[in-house]
Amino acid sequence: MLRIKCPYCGVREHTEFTYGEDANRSLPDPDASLDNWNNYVFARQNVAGEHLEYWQHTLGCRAWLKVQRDTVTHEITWTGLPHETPPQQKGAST
Amino acid sequence: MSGFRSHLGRLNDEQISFSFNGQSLSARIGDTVASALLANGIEVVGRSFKYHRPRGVNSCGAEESGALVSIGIGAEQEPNVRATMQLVTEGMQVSSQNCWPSPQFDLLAINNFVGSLFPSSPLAAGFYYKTFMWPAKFWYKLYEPAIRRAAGMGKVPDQADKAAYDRINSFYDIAIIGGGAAGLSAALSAAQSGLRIVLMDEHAILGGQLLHLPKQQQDLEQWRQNTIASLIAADNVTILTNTVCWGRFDGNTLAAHEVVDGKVRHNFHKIHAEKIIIATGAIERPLVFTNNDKPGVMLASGARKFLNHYGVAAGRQMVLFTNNDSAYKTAFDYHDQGLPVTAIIDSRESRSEHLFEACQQRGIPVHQNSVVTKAKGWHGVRSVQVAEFKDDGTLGASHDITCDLVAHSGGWSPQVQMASHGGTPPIYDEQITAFVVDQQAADTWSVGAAQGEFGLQAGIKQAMVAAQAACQALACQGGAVLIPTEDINGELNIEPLWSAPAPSKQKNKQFVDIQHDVTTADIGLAHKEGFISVEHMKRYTTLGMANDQGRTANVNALAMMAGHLEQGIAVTGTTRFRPPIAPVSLGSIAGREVGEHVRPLRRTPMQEWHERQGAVFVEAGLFRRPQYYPIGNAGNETLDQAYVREAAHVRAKVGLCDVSSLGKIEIVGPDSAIFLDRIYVNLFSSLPVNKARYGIMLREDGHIYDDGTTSRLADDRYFMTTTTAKAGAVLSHLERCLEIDWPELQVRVSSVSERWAAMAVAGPQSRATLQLAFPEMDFSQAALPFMGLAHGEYQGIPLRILRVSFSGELAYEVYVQADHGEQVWQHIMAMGQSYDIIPYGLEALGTLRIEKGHVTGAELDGRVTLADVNMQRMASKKKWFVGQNLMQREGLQDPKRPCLVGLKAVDPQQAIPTGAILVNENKLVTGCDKQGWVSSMTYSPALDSFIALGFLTAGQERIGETIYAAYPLQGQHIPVEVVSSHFYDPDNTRVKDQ
Repeated sequence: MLRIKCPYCGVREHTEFTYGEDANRSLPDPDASLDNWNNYVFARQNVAGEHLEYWQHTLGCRAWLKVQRDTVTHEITWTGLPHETPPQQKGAST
Repeated sequence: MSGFRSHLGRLNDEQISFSFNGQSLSARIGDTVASALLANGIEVVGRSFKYHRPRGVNSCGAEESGALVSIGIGAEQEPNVRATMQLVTEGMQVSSQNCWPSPQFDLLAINNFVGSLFPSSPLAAGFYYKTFMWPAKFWYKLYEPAIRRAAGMGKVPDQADKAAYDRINSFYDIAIIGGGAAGLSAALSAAQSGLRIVLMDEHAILGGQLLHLPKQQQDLEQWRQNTIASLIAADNVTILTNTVCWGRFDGNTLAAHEVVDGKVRHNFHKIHAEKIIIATGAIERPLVFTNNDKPGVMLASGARKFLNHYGVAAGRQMVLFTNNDSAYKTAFDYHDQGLPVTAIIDSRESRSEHLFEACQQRGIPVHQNSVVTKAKGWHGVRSVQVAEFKDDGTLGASHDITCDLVAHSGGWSPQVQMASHGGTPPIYDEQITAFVVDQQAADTWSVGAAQGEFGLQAGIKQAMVAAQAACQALACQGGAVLIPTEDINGELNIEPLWSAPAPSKQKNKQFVDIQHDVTTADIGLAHKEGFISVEHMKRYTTLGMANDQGRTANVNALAMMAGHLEQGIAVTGTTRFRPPIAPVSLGSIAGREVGEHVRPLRRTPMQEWHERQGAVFVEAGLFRRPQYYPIGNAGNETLDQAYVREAAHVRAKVGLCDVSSLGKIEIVGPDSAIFLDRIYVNLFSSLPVNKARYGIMLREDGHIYDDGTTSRLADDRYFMTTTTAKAGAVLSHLERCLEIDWPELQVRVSSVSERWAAMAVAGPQSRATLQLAFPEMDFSQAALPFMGLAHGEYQGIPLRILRVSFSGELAYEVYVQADHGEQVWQHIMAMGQSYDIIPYGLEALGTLRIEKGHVTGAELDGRVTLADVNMQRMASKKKWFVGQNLMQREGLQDPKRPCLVGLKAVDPQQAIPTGAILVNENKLVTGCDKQGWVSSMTYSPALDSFIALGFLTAGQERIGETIYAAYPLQGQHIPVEVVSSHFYDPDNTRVKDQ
């Protein structure tokens, strides 16, 4: 059972949250090339290690959160709002 | 007769009665089924899994692999209960498993001898994979039922389980798993910090192996009782007995299974603990020798606990067989109780002098450097065959020793499952010849015998240090624990003996995994056939896969495989430990979420009206929506009759349909219009106030996500509807876009699905009906044109009325506060009587929309584009929207993509099955090209024909062609004409121009 610290609600079990998506990407310009859009929508790093991802507190305050989670150990090292960044980002989550 | 009650042990003399296979027996309160059966002289408890060999009690705990029984009868029956873990209660009905007609005389015991008739036994390792391969159809009809009858454990009751189960969530600062000396010490130390502590133990009584000691060892008995008393007195400590912790998961979550004696059968505890102390102890490992599965062969620790705790002698004449020091205490305790110990067979070359002297004092003969090669006896053991090793390592001449109890010990295996869950692999420790986990996971400590520390005082100190460290990590201080003055020496002086050599030229079985009937020969076969990885060996032989999870079998089997491979045990490694480590009832995991409570039921405000009306319901997500309203009593009118009647009635007069399950989202803020322009493919910024528009939204990958009608309430306020199925997902999508992609937009979205009841009023008389119902509002074409929104009220209740149509008739959707839904519904029904109004269900709603070619979830299945449903013109070119870019991918622009068409049965009375494949071939053949599929089908009263919607390759160019709807599962091949999907009133005159 993962335990996620929602900045609004505190530490809660992951059953209250829904995984959203990889947080290491941002919306391309509307007129970006099809290749850029293709990469944005489909290409993923599939990191084994520390990874930034979006989760939504669906059964709580409904906020979207940015979560730094180790995909190997499931350890969650940081949680913030979508436009925050973790204090020190290690190499893996690029 | 073998075992008997010799004294009281720790129990009192209060008697209760229970039955075994119908025979009434007596027990004492505190007896387990195992101790009570032994006390009554029962040797054979059941028959084994494959070979139907007689089996009896062979341990005193969770590792039991022999005595599995069924408890209770009928629906109440619980199979595969370990007799050693189940307390006897008054009137309990216990029965044997896997034997017929009785455990004493079992006809399928023939399986035991079949092996010798074939070169390789048909029941040996891998027999499932090798035998019964051909012909395939024999498998289901013949082989499988025969095997299922013959091989197996207890029977699952065929009636519904009436027992109740509960799920309990709890939070603690420190969880301690295991209530032996180490666990008790850790709990007592931690308790003094004031933190919230939970202590779990799978047995009914705390103390672990302290309970194996004679009650007369007063210092330790007093220490145990005092410690427990202190823990009970501490109000920050929760003690869960009869509770096995069966898994450790991410985030320090523990799963535990509690056996409860009461209205609830089992509790499932989900426990979150900041820190975890693992004090799960160790279990004794068996020695492997020929016929080591016979009733009367028992782990030395088991024989000792039966005697000292339950006061039950497990036999009348003991032989002890060991490769280490620890087991000698069993022989001494039996001897000191006046029970004869005929011999100690010690496989070691060297001897421990103090034990040897103790044996001499008692007059117990010790056979050094010797092994038991075979246990003899028809059902239970009556003698053992013993031989001494010669200098060259071979066995000398053997002789028999009479006995009815073989207590044996091959060393001790720390219970490392909990420490290992989460992925830390155990490593082999040569010193104790067992696996331990040496790298601790974060926030966990493993202490005492679970960590390979077998000495009592050392284990207690280790537990105390761990508890203090755990408390300190939580900024509190753990206390000290009184160390008992008496110690138990943990030195085993073990010399490994993985299996005793078999007596020459004899093929009798030596069991490694007793519960799954896996023998040393099976391990050899796995090696010979190349299944040498321990994970492969496990699966090929099924070793360790019974409900004891190979507690006693694994280390011996790994050592044997290492021997075959001529390599070390450490290199060979061990299989991975995964939860659950003990049998867990499915009922406890389901808890109360059974039957109607599997999922919550969402009710619309008009639900009770529908129920009173006798509606037949159909599941739609979490809703149960009226499918149709049969005339008269249920059963008088079929579904097919009812939906055709209801649909025709709506086209002729007027009908009322509950559409409250639609998702409803309010979108508020100055940037709402910009936001909706990005979300939907079409423009919403140009939508005037009090007007509605049909909208489609795409996913980022360019496929259609959802559709619905959205109306503008004010410049900065919209009211969106979504499909019932996508209501939650669309809300999350909107929230995601606002918080992640466009945080600069000043918009808030909120679900108002539960706030509004919604009902569709459809049919030529809908205007007249509403005008009569709400006379203060103006429903004229001029005042409320198609796609208009009007506000009004009824008895002070605000109404929103949209003129939209899903049915293709003049129609309205009435939205009202949920609390007043039924009231307004009844009012419309009452006023509509003058126009012959009827309620109509989901099935008629489907008919009406298919006749109009409107799409729903059956068409918008996540794989279609705007062009696929002929709506490419809806995409605005004046703006950017989600999905616009990837909508233009080459693959999604292919003109050969299947697109939406109408299909009309050539024979109007022939149904077109939904899911049928569209093909060009005029008869059912294999290998033809799929041209498309049928997505929705109905009988159309308006067209007096079966019609369907489907997707057909380049469909728009093929209007007028005849193709075939193939449904090979039912041998159907139906000619259909390709037509426009707008079957009925294609110009929408009935909707708009009235």
